[in-house]
Order: sequence, then structure tokens, then C-alpha cells
Amino acid sequence: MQVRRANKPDIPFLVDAIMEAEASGSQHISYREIFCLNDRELRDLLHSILSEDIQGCGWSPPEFLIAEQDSETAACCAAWIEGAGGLPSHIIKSQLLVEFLGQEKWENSKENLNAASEINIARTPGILQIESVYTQPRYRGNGLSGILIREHLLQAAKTGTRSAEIQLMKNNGAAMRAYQKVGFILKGEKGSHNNKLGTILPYHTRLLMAKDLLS
Amino acid sequence: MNKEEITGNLKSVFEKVFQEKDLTITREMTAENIEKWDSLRHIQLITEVEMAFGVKFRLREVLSMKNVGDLIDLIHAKRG
Repeated sequence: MQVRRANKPDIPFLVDAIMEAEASGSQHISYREIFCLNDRELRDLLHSILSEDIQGCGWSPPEFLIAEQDSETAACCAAWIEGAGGLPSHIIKSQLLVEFLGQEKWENSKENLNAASEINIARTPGILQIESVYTQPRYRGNGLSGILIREHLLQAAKTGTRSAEIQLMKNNGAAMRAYQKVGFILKGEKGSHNNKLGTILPYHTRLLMAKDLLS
Repeated sequence: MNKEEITGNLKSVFEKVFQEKDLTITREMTAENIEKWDSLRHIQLITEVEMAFGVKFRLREVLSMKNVGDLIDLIHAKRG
């Protein structure tokens, strides 16, 4: 098994990873539902965004570590330091979405965006953010995601980052157990009773887990 | 339009977007200084600024702005 940084040829795999991670084991891929896209349109959107290579929100190939097994891309995991470039990741993501979706699509999706924002949890500036953790089904059970997360943590700790955060949907028990194995502990949650969330997000409650990197 | 005039006009745009009166605009101000400054308001702010000043920002220009001072400088540069 080899671990390496992702680059542009990995973009199709990273697009799949982001879509699978966003679905969180449900039928709802948040970006697809929020912006009323089909799978093809979402795939093209994410491909365009990743090709732009803007860092700071987990949507740039070099922010991903890839695990290769049997010369195949088996798993990936994105990480970035929140606010390192001066802007919070949610603003970078929004700006990328507007750029590639178009202003009209963005405006037409405001009701969904407002609903989804009800369970937003603020990311802590200066803290490592882990996202889009994904392993191809046939490689699951080998601890690949844990290896990738630990490598991100190791690299961040070397540069003095004091802790790491992961956000996930509360319905994703398997992910929560995997993150606990790496040392993350539950720090908080945010939920909403807005019925609309059931149609646009995998679940109505988001969890925040964190790990101290200095201990 | 000099930077003082840009700052004055920006104040009106900020007050419209954030629906607050008598906002104090400083060069150091960032999204962290205004509670309502979320993703939706940010996109609205950029759109309103473009309309108010008759300019168009490129993606990397918007993403390079770290604070309101950078926004003022960019508007100034684009308006010549």
C-alpha cells in the first residue's frame, strides 16, 4: 500500500469520493439536491471546481491524500487548515459554486441553501479540517481511511497545527466509529426540525468531532 | 473615485446587504467581524459591489481578498 498526494489525473476518483462522502450512506447527495442537479451535472461541476485547483476548502487535488493498493486508487481523504489563506472555507466553496453553477442557479437555490445552513457548524480557524473520507467498497475493512487520516494529522502536527476537526452526519455511525479509532472525540452537534432537510441532506443533525494533535 | 469615496459608497452597500444601519467600515474588517456575514451574504455582497461600482471581479481576485481593505484596493484598481 502506498500513500501519495493526489494530482489532476486523480480528479475523476476525487469527484466520486466527494459525491459518496456527501451522500453519507443515504440517497441524498447534498449538492445534487440543493442545486437540483442530476448526477452528470454534479459530476461535471465538481470536475470543473477541482480542475481550478483553488486551495482552502478541500476541493483541490493536492489537498487529498490517496491510498494505492495493487496499483489501484483505493481510498482518499482531503484536509486543509481552516482560514490559512485568509478566507473561511465556506466562503471559498460558495464562490467556487457560484462561478461554475452560475449566479441564476445560485439565486434559485437560496431556499435550500438557507435550510441546509441551519445545521452548519463553524470551522475553527487555524485548525486542520478533514473531509471527503472515502474508500472504494472492495478495499474497505483494511483501515485505509485511518492510515490516510493519521498521515494528514502527522503532517499537520509537524507544522505546529494544534488540533483537527471532522464534521459528519449523525446517521453515519460507521464513519464515527472509524474516526474514534483514530482518536477523534465527539465535541458537539447541531440539528434542525426543518422538514426540508429530509429532502436535501442525508440527515437532520451534523456532528463535530475533534482530536488534539499536541498530546 | 478615490479610496475614501469608495469606502463611503461601500458603507451603503454593506448596510443594504447586512440590513444594518451606521455600520463602520474599516480596511481591517473581515467576515469574522459581522455576525451575519455567512456564505449567502458574501455572494450577495460581491454581486452588489459589482453592480454599485460597475466592475466585474474574476474568481481568483475575489478569493485573494483577505479583508475590506483588499476589496477597496481592487475596486480602486479596476476603476482606474
